[in-house]
Amino acid sequence: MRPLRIALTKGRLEKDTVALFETMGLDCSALHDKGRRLFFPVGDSIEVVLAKAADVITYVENGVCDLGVVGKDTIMEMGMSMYELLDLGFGRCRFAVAAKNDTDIFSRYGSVTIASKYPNVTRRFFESLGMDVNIIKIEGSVELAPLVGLADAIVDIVETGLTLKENGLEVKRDVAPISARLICNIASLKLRQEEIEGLVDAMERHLNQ
Amino acid sequence: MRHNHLITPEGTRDLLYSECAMRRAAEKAVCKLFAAAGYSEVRTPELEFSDVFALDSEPIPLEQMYKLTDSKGRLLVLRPDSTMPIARMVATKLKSAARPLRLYYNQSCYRISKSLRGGSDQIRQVGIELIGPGGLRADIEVLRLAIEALSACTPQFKLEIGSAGIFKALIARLPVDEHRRAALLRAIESKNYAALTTELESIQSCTEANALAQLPRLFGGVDVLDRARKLFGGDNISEELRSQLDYLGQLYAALEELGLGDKISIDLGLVRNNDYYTGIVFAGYAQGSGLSVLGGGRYDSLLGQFGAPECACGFAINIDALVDSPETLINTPSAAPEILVVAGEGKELEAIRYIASLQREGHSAEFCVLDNIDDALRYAGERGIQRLDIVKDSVETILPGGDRR
Repeated sequence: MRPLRIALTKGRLEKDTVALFETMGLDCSALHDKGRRLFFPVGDSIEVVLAKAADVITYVENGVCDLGVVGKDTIMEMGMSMYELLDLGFGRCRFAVAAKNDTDIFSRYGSVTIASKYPNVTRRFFESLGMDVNIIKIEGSVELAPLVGLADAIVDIVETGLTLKENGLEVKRDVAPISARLICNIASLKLRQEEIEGLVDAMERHLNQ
Repeated sequence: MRHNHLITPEGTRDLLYSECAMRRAAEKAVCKLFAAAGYSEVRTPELEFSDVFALDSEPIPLEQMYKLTDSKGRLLVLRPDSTMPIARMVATKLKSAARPLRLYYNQSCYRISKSLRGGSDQIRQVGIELIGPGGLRADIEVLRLAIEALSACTPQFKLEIGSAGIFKALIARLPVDEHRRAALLRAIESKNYAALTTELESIQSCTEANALAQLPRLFGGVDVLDRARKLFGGDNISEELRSQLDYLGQLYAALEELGLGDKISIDLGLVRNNDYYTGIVFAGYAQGSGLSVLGGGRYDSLLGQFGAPECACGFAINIDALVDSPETLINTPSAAPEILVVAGEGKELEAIRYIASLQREGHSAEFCVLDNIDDALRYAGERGIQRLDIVKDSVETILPGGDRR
């Protein structure tokens, strides 16, 4: 049988996961010296692939990877049908509504326009408030949208709030907390229960240390 | 201007040659099993009124159905599931037929899957419904058939069994509203311990709340039932929960006795469509396929929604997922015929009679409609046909490599 295959979100979540694996005593040398490889052995029984966040979900959902590490932001935006086994605790930030200091979008009558990289998260949040908003999808530098007058407010990931502040924006309301999650394909958990539970337990133990 | 005349809609595909042959072989193997167990085939229309699927428990969201209207403007859907149309059929046409009713079907279902995620919108399902009596005997029969059917298609699989009643019994004793209940179900179904803990935080700690928090972890072998008994109150376990767990234990023991113990497991966190199912609920997982390849359970309140309350239990197998899995047991018969029969000048009718005689003997033989022998040889090479019979005054056989006999 092939080793357990884990898809890691490239970048910070990858580094944090590798650090976690190393505290668990797993050999991650292949991930430090990547070369041109696409598969990276970790210890004896794990194989890592690296992918963009949304692709991690797609790989795990289709069962070509057994497990994945991905941010809750991507899970909330894409939706998924699989298991979410662990809150890994790192990659912590939050979704928030932000606008110019003098804008109040929550108590006005006219239509409100929101710019976001996360249209589904945005729609669900304003639906839950019973607010009818016009959503515009933006691919990057969402902070620009209210400044140039494209939108009244934005929904985006906020870590420290520094970028917002520099641009004269402020958080108006929190939408949801975000952190990295360990996800698992449904069939994999059932067919390789012992291996996966062993790994998940070990990860959980080392997280709490 | 035409834009889409060379492609198929997203989520659909053409099936060619061995893809068809393997599906047919799998369908045949599974249908044969069902027929041998006394089940009769039924078919329902591809189109149904959307009302057929608009149950109180909403097992299929309206946005996942392909919709169209009939000539009177009434809303139709492409059949997204076979069980509900069969329930409609049973509650009307088969109302006075002898019970138990044993029905099987082999038809496609259509659901709008998420865009660009590799899902399929047209799924071939073969399944059964056992209608009339409920209880242990019926459940054992259905579970055994599910295992037999999977065994015919795939070497390594697990059928996991849960019980819809366990979540219902636990939640009934907790002060939760509809929204909280839905959130708890979502968290348990996705084994999201973090969200489950958050949802349960505001509920005062009690046996039921603690048991609910552990529900996603209660899966594996039969020992799960003992762990559950302890968690659900030990000696003080409620009568209802105890009987639910004992029932699963009885089923497990029966299947083990039948030599099927290595194929089954228990998952008390299997709460999919909890309002739709009333008793056992089960799902099959096969090595090499990331999706569940079989789903089913007992739905004793379904027929009541069609005005004829009675018990029902069944399952559907996803033939496409099983056949597309690299581990499938379904063999591909060769696509090429054994013999290509070429007619000499003026010998067309003799050749056709000769083909009929070959076919009567059990050979597969194709009539060569190309005029020229060189074209026939090239064609045989491309298709991988191993033998050419040339009908002249007598029949001359050519084997590849130029051997003549």
